[in-house]
Amino acid sequence: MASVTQTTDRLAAGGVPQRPPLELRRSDRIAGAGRRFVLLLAALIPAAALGVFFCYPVAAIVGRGLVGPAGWDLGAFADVLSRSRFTRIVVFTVGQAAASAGLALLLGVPGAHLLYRRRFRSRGVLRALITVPFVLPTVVVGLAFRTLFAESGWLGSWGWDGSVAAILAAHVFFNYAVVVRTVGATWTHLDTRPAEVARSLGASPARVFATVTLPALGPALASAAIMVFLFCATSFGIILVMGGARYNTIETEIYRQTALIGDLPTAAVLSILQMVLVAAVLVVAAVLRRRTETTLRLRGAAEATRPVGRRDLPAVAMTLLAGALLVLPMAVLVTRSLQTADGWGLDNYRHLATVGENNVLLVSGTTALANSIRSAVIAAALSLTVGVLLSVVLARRPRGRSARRAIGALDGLMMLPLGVSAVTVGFGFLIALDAPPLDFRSSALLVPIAQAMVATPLVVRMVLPVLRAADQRLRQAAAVLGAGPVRVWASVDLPIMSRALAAAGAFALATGLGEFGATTFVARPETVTLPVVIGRLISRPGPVNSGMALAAGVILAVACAVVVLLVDLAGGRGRTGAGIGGF
Amino acid sequence: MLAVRGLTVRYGSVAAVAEVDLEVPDGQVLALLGPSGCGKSTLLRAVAGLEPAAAGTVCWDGADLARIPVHRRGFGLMFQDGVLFPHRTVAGNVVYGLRGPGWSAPARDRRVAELLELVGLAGYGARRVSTLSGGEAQRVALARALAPRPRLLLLDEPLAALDRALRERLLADLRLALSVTGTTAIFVTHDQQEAFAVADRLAVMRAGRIAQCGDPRAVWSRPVDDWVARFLGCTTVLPARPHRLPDGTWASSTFLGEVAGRAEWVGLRPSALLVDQRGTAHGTVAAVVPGPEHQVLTVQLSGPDGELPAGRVQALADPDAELEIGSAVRLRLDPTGAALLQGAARAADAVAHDTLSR
Repeated sequence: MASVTQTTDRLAAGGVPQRPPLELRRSDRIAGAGRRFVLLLAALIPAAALGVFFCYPVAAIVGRGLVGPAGWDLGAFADVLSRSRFTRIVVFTVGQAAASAGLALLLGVPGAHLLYRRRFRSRGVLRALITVPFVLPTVVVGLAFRTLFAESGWLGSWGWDGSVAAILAAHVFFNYAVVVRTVGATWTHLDTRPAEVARSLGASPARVFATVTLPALGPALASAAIMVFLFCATSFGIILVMGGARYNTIETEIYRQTALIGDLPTAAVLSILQMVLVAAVLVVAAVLRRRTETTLRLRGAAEATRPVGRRDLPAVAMTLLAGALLVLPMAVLVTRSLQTADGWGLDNYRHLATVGENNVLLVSGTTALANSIRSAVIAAALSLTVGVLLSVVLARRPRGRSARRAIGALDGLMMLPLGVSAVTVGFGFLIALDAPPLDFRSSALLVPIAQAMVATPLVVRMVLPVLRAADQRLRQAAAVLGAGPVRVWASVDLPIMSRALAAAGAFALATGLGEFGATTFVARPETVTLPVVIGRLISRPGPVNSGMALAAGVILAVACAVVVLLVDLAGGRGRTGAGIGGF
Repeated sequence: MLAVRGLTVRYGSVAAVAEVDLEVPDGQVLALLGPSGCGKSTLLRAVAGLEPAAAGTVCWDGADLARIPVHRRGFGLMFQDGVLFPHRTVAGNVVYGLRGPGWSAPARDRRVAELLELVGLAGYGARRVSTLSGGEAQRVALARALAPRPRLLLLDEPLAALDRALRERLLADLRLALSVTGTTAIFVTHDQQEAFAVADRLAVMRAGRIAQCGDPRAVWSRPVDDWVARFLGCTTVLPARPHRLPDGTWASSTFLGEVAGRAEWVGLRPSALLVDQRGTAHGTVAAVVPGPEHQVLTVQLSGPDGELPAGRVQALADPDAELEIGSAVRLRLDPTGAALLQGAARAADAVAHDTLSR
């Protein structure tokens, strides 16, 4: 303020353009209507996409399962439920998912403590690295664990080949990051003062953890557990590759009934069962989330993370164990892919240019790779478009009651496919979209669309929270400064969600590259993707075929890992919100 | 000139702002003072166009603004905590509103430099917003709001989030900036000091309505009713003339001296009652709160011995006076701490009883 007088002169001298008088322009009237129209369009496009590619197929499934020639018919339903094979499958699905969630928590909580409450070098890189397994294709992970535990594998002596233990290990491998990042994100923001009060009142560190920290983390733990449960209950690729004929989940059974037995009504009933299971889990999750929002007192990220000390030894040990679990399968996959009949070499990779031993494939591995990339790119573009449109609409907080209700309804509708399994999507496409009025059978877009349906919920989950959390007053400040709706969006919303957008794009791309469940159902022989090729190769005998599978698995894993790591390290370091912490 | 007529803003069935009339002439600063939740921020947001009016009009130079969207009004708005664009630099924030014909790139740069200088942040242009302290962020927010030369600047408790020392310094700067730029402004606050520091006119708001509006000194010394008097610091409201109390005795007004003749009711702030040996009202100390400049006492008056009626009042004593609970004291009146109420809305007996038995 030193030179106020000089400034006064200059301010008085002008240099500021005169404002036009305030009067209503025609453009104001048109702008209001135009804005409503654009919003309506933004809502209609995703709603239409959901309607055609989700609601309609689901309706078709329900029709197959519950409607007989004479109207509603619960006969097929009762029949399925009365067969002990199916009850066993349902029990196994729920049981293995619960066990996986428990194990993931057991390993993940010490990891969250170490990676989010302690300070050490390359912590950021480690946080990014543990995310990689989450985006790896299920078939590749299944293949890696199978190779690890096979009789000839590094851990063959454990006798875990084809066992439940191996399946659980693979599920923990996948979901370790879900627990670490969900719990860790909460843990860094946890108000540390209650713990300090407890210490000052005479509580030992162990008692503080049990009576203060753990209850405060409760909602995050529950949320992580539910997510892991959901992912494992809808696990398909892992079980198909590792479970053999012995272990089946509802997912693999739907596939078996459809592809091997051809009993579509039974598959439909199983799909409905699966949807009910998922819906129930989602309801529990929603209730818990509401509690999380009200009970947690969070602060800015704690700067005062301490270096690793002697007390952290148990956590370090658990995290090393988890590290071994994450690294070993991938190491064995890469090593074995480089082993040939006569030593080391790239033969397995070279064979990818062929159609395999005994011509098991209709197209070569490289063609399948090209298919994969093409459909993943299209799927990512589709899911980003639909997901961002949906997020923009869902993030609005309109004043009118009817508009609020409409958004609430759309929000609810969007929750549905969030948890619906890839197999259900694929099966729905198979029975709904291959006959008039919607015949997509010959469309080259069927695979990308199916993959986009799997990836869109992911995009919404990553973008929507960021938009919702954005300070509404930023938009108001921009508007007051003269920015119209378009400039507000471009200068406020877009920069805010750019990180989440990049991360969502990467995840969508990785999802498309590795998608197996839905693609298996809808891919035609000449449009198969690499994961489907891997699935086919490992189901056929022959060293060339299994070598090709390993090589293809490595390529796919590297592609997925690179895409996600680049985005995570470039933009998201230290920022958990843009990663999978939001799940 | 801003003219608000019969403005009502509703949230659901609740009227947050009810039938408000206001005028702000060009170049003047109106302070909108009220307790939290009285609707003052909502009124401000309605003027900005961020809340729709359920009834009434907001006019600028006679033109109704109802259908003119927020971004075309040319008003400025400053929030409690800056709300700077996090992904832009300091200069990027200040330049945001400088758009449209007439703003060449050099003109924009000049204007940004000018404003940063005005708010005492010359040379901060390239800084990232995240590196600013709370006070600096508010200065940038002020520069950003002033840069396009808003027709009207709306300040929503711009200093409330700052600590005391910083608040006082920034208040002086803000006042200077507003007068230097000749900005027309509405300044919302719940703090009397702030309101008096910046206001040409003062409006006191209560439960969605304007309780009183006028010259700040006038509002301070002549509140319209006992609610405004209390909100502006009066802890005791007394009938100015001899009056019959519920217990049948009479309160005399000789204590009030010349003040008594000028109003029906008198509001007394603690600074109106001073401990003094020559005082004419007698009482005993019921509580003491020491302070650096004076001690604030709660005094139990002994009753209508020709002076103030029995009851508790707040009074001031020298900081080094040796007083403790139970000490006998005498009080005298300092008229500068008294407020004159013209017509108290409430029944006289009730007021006297209410105020003095607490």
